[in-house]
Amino acid sequence: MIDVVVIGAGINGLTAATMLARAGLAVEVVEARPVLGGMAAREPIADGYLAPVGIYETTGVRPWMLNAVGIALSPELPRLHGSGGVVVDLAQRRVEGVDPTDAAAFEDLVELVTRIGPLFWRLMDHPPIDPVASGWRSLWAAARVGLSARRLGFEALRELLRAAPMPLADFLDERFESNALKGLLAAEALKYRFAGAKSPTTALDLLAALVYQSAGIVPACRLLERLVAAAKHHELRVRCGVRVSSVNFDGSRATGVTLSDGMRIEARSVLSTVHPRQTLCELISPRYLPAALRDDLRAWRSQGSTARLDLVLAQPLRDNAGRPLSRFALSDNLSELERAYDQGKHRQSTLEQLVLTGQQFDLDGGFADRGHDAHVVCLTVQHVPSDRVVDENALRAAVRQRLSAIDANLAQHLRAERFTSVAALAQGFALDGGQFEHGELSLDQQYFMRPQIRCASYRAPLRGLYLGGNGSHPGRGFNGAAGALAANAMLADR
Amino acid sequence: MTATTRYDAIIVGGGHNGLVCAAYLAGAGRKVLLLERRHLLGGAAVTEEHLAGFKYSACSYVVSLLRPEIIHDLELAKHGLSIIPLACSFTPDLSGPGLVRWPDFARTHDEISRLSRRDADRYPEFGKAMGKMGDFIRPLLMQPAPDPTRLPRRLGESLSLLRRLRKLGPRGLAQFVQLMTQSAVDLLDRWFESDRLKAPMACSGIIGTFLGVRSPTTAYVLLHHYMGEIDGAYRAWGFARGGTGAISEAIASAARARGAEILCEAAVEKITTRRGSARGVVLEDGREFEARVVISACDPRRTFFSFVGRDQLDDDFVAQITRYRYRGSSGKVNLALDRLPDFSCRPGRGLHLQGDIAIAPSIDYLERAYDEAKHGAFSRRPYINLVIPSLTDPTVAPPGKHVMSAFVQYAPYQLAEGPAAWDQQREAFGDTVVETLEEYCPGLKDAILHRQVLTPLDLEREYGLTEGNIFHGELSLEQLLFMRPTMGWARYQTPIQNLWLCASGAHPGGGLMGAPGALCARRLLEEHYL
Repeated sequence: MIDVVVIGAGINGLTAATMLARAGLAVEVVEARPVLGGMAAREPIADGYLAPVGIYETTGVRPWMLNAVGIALSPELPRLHGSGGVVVDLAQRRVEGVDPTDAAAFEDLVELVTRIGPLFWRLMDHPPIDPVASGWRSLWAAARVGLSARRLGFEALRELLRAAPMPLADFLDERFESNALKGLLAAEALKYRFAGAKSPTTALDLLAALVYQSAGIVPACRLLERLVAAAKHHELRVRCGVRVSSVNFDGSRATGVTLSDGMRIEARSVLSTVHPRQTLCELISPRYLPAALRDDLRAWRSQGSTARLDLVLAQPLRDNAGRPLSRFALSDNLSELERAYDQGKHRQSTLEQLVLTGQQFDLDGGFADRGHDAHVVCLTVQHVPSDRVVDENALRAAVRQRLSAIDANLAQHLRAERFTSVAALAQGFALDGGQFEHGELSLDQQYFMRPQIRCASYRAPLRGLYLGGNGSHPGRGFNGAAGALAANAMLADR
Repeated sequence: MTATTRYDAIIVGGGHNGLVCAAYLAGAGRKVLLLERRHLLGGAAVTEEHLAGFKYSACSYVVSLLRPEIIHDLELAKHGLSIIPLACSFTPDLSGPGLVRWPDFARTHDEISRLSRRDADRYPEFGKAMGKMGDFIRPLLMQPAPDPTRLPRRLGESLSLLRRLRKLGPRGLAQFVQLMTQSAVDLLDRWFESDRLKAPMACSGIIGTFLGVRSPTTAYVLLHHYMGEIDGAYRAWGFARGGTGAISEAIASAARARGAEILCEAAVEKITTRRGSARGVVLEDGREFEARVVISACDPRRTFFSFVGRDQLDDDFVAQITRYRYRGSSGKVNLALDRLPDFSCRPGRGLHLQGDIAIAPSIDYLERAYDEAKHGAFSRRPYINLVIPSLTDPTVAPPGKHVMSAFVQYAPYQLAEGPAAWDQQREAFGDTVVETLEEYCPGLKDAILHRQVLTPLDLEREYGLTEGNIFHGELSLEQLLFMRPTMGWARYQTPIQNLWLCASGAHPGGGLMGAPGALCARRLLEEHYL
């Protein structure tokens, strides 16, 4: 009998498991895939070249999380390149390549982001408030959120309340003239969302993205590498290549899991970091869960529309000044982005309006075996419908065409390519629809609604079962916060 | 006339909200003057005759949201208001018999069963669930918006809202959040499987908005339309006998009976101020009137920028009103018909024509109509809401003839070529509507005796609806409750002392509801501003 079984060895699973092990618990991690890391795990693109199939960058990596697992990392703020020479430099808090009015408006936006930062972190660094709970604890938590909101001052609070339900396009049109800047910000804010810039509530995605990125960006493999090292340091037991087929209960209390090879692991608690619908509807016998909750979970939206593409280049992509690019977001304007969403929505191919975001990594990132010399570019392609076979070759060609705006000789430098469709992502990582964050981050699926109002505190409505995947709050940034908060909830219950 | 008479209140604009406000204030013994620019009262709630004997409800065409307490307080029945409930909701189809939803559940069950047995069984449950949510929201419509940003001054209101929210319980609370933030389609997908049922239901979520049925937050608009009540019966919509203008006439009659003075063809040019305080109005013809308070029943932009002037307001407030969004999305086509239209899916004259008729064959059809508008063109195949009031109200058309009203979406005020392009596209827009209808009722074209096409530009020019928005500003989440029209000024008062707002640009917003007018009057009286 061990203390905890953690299902899934992605960033959330490893974070939670390491925290629990550090607290002195006997922990075992079960991972269905043959390697550690979940969506952040690197897999070969071609001979000698590796890149993550799923996520390649994490944002909002907070000092408290790093402390909790005992690792050191310094998040950086690379420049974000857009179309037409526009560059967003969050480290310098400014934008280049636009006229002075837009540049000043951007500084105002960064100022707003700085102002609302503390409120965001008050919400994101803590478990969601349970709106129906009583008792001084939840009152106190609510009061602290209220105080953070008040500290914003009237104007910033007004901006935030007004922006939260707004379409991103309106939010940007009110502030900026430059189409390239608007396109860049929208592409960056919505890269994992199945929404257009004209969809209400998307302005909040930009604010959240900017708050998260202001805390720095860490390449996913680097975070993973440190987490794996920390896990090793704590002699965490990890079982790879075997699936959990059920979570077992004795009466109403979790007693462990059964694996697909028939083996049982007895444990006092189970912490699952997989998709919430999988945890609650597939791994648990239906008799343990109220029918209403199962109904509600069935309506959970996690339809993905973002595909991945990885390129291996002999020469790096360079900006106008000849410096190697790091991050980029390519969408010429909002109407192009909206048309891409329209097509995705109607399940048509999006080859004419491609919205690309990506990051280029050099060899230090650990993307190649020794002796190889090349650059890896990881890309997201937005609004590629999942339930229709996209002509892969046509899509690759369209992406190359789009990137040739940056590097006219791209075709000559291209050594290898790997396309991963939404369906392949869904299949490979049990994403149930393909949404990267285990569920659309729309207003009705956030905070105390994530993944359902009665299990948003990381505690499933069954004793001893905890939910610590991205389907739990905050679910944003791929930084392990959900896992960390779930581990905290479990430790608090002991 | 010179400024010799001093009124307690001058109301600028004789739309239904202005009239309601005037009636309440006059009823409390205040000396009230109401000024209307046009020759007839009602604003967007008017009956117009463009062809002898044919009476169009030119803009607003059905009534349901008009608050029962207003009907009761102002004794509108005594003043001639008579409402004929709609018989049903009919959704014609190009293939198959279409769908009719009746007030009688058994009949509706039979109809929906043809599409899906499961949906038919769930349909009454859905109505009940929406009714429950409606019960929760409804009190908010008859009180000033609780403002959580004004703590501790408004602590009581906010706490009572919070208490009521918690009383919903976890599942109820989750449903409430979903209603406020989800799309109409998301909401309906949870209940129903048949596209042909969901499509006409989803329409309620987009009326008057520049959003599609798949846009988040449209579920709330859908609920808003479920809150209509006539004599306490939920979801019952109806016509006013004599056209929608009859409602305005009844309210005006109630106001006059209480002593309010009403002037038509009295276009206000300026609201005059002295040291930051409103003192009266100047009309375009030079007449001047003074009052203790001036109440605008026009929308916020017109009120502050046309009547008051930017120079009288601080920069921040000007910025807030500048970004208050209108973006009208709908047009109206009124037809005088030689004979009754004949729907090929349900031929002949039947009770199904006495309700509202929705051209909404599928969710995808509606979403594509929105997509076109988003990119700056009117929908080539639009969503149309039809009514034929002459079937139930013989006073609006000569014997044997009919009037048909078509509410059309989407007709974006901002065309790709700019709003002025509507003058060139008006007839093409009218043709599109007629051609769409012709597909469902062949022969309609030949029966048309007269056609009135109202584009969003016409709604702005003729009826004073800025950017053609029928609600005096979008009913989007960031423009509701304590944020309508802007945070800090959502309780009918304005930064200009003694200038008040009493129309749809204030909480609880648009629709033929009358609530802003009544609430503004109530605040003025109860808090002794007047």
